[in-house]
Amino acid sequence: MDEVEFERVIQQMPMGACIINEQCIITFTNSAFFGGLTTRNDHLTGQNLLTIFAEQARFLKRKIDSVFVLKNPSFSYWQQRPHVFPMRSTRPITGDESQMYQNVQFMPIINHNGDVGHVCIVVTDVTAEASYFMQQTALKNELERDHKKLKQLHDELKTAQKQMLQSEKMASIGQLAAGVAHEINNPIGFVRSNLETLNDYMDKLIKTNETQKKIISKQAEPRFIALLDDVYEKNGIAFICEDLPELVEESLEGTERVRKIVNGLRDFASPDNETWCEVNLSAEIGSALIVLENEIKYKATTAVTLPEEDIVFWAKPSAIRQLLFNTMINALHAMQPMGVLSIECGYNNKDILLSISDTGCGIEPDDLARIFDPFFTTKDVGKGTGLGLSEVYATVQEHQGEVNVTSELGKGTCFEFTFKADLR
Amino acid sequence: MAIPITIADDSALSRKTIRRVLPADWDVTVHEAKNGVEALEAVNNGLAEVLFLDLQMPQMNGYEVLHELHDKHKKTIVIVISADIQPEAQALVNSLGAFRFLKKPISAEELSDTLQEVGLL
Amino acid sequence: MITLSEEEQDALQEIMNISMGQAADALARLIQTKVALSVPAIEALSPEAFQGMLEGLKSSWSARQSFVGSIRGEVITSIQKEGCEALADIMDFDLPLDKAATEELVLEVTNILSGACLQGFTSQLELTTQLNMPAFYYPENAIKNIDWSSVLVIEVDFKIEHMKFDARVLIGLSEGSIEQALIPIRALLEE
Repeated sequence: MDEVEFERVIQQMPMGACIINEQCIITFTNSAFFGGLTTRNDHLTGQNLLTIFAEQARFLKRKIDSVFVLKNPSFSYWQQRPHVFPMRSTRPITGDESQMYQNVQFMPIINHNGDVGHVCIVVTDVTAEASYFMQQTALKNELERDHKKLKQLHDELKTAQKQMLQSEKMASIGQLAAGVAHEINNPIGFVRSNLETLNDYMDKLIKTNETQKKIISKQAEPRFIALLDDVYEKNGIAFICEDLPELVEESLEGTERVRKIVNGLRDFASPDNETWCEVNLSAEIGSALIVLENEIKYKATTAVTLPEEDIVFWAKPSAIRQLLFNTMINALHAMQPMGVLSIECGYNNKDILLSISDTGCGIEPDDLARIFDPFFTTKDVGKGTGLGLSEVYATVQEHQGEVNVTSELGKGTCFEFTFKADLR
Repeated sequence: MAIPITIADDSALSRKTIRRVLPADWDVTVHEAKNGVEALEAVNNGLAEVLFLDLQMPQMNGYEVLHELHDKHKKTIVIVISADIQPEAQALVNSLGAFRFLKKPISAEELSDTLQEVGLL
Repeated sequence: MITLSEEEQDALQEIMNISMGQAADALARLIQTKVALSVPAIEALSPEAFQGMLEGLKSSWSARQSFVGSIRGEVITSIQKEGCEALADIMDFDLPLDKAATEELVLEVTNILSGACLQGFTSQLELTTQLNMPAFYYPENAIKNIDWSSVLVIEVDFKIEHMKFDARVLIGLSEGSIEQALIPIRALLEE
């Protein structure tokens, strides 16, 4: 091939080529370079590259200098510098990009002295690759966003499922409890009423007996009295008379306890049909503190934070009273003297937030999931019914509220309630 | 009479290369030193009227050798042949009294020109 | 594992020494500042050891550049982040460096260093090789599908003290290429 043929090849190459000398004067451009430019220049040859492409002059000079000094090629990439030369996209009709994305090579042309006489700038159109790459990147980002969203949704579903399981459990236990409560209520009713009658009979019998004994001891023969004393002695009548009222009293107390448990169960199963009304939560907190004054006195100091305006919401007053009472009692029981019982109440948009926290012993992490289960108690047998917090839970459910418990062993426990201010 | 010269370089290849590019018609006896200490010994023993000196060497580097020769007012002709070819190295070497600074890799032509300039050929 | 005789090791080291001297001079002339460099360390590494070496680059900016011809391999240049701004300043970049400018700087320095190192090396041994475009490299991802058993790594540190600029250049020669490079080296040693 001769020189003319070589030049023809370079002219027809699908990449832009521009040759400059040491003064940055353009000595040659091929048609891809010349024709690709969006700026119209009649002839480039003989002009200074840095003047024509003034916007990129600093960058071009740096690159060209390095090639002249180091005699090694230098490169530029579309990622860092997408449009070195103002050239239009080679896909003017179907392409997404209007400007050409370019990789540029600066190649030294070594002369016969072994020095760099010229630099050849080769511009490669990488618009298609760049466009594809950017689409892929956008797609990847979108996928990542979706993935994140899905993961969040998944977590929410998991939480919801957990909550559903809990309320499902509560519901079935509730039904069971309602049945048991009904079955126990009748017999315990007549046991209690019989016991009360027995108590009455017993009083009368004991009194009659005492009177009889007084009369006999005054009127009867000593022999007869001795005989009677003997019978009394043998049968331990004196002890019986003393013990009997206590036994009956204890039995009555027992039935009273059974009645309370049954009522509690019934409240939990189907919170009674008490009517709803505007309940002043601030006032209820105040009266609960008064009722519990005796309990509080030796156990804790109280820190109560209430907004100036009364907090009023649509609720069942006795259920709310019970809720406050049960939660506060538990808090007090958890504390050694002297702890701090904190009660805070306030609004958050359309929610009412109520928190009751103590500085007590805290709840074992394993127990935390079970505290709302009916009959779950960590108190000694007979000391607690294990129904207090399940009642609390039922009340919260009935009021479409939420309760969240956080606890740290040795530090304390906090019950946070959220109620709807506009439930009505 | 043959001139005693010493080639001081820690690299065997370098010493070999310098030997190879010595002008064929230059009447010399060649000694070798693998570090600065050996180079100074050669000078002291009269084995180095001309010293081809590398800069980067173990034990005692070329700069230290130049210092020592300068302090002792030795008349040895030192030609530094270095891989560190930055201007700072050249300037430092010249200030320490070296006759010439040659860049590695060294060519026979360059060496012969230098020797002629210094008047050794 | 590749084993080099003491003589070959010395020769390779000296040739690299000269190449790196030229590379440092090139960089020094470009930025008008003295560049300090370490003695080249030459070591044959197993894939595991090589992987371990790459691990050490994680805190720096890295770029890799392959070369093909009568010898083949890759140059990995790793530049400590700290000195980048100062270097960018004397290389006429706009400060502060954004992501694209940082990448551009790292690629530019990589190209200068690997170009100069390799040019010196191949011209001394009369080998021919062509450097491809450098690309940014994140050594976080372990190399998969390794089909070689050992690589000869030549390592040099370039430093510019007053700017806290510190670059490590690793030239990795592929197994076949070491044999290719040893032919002219042995010839030099025999003459």
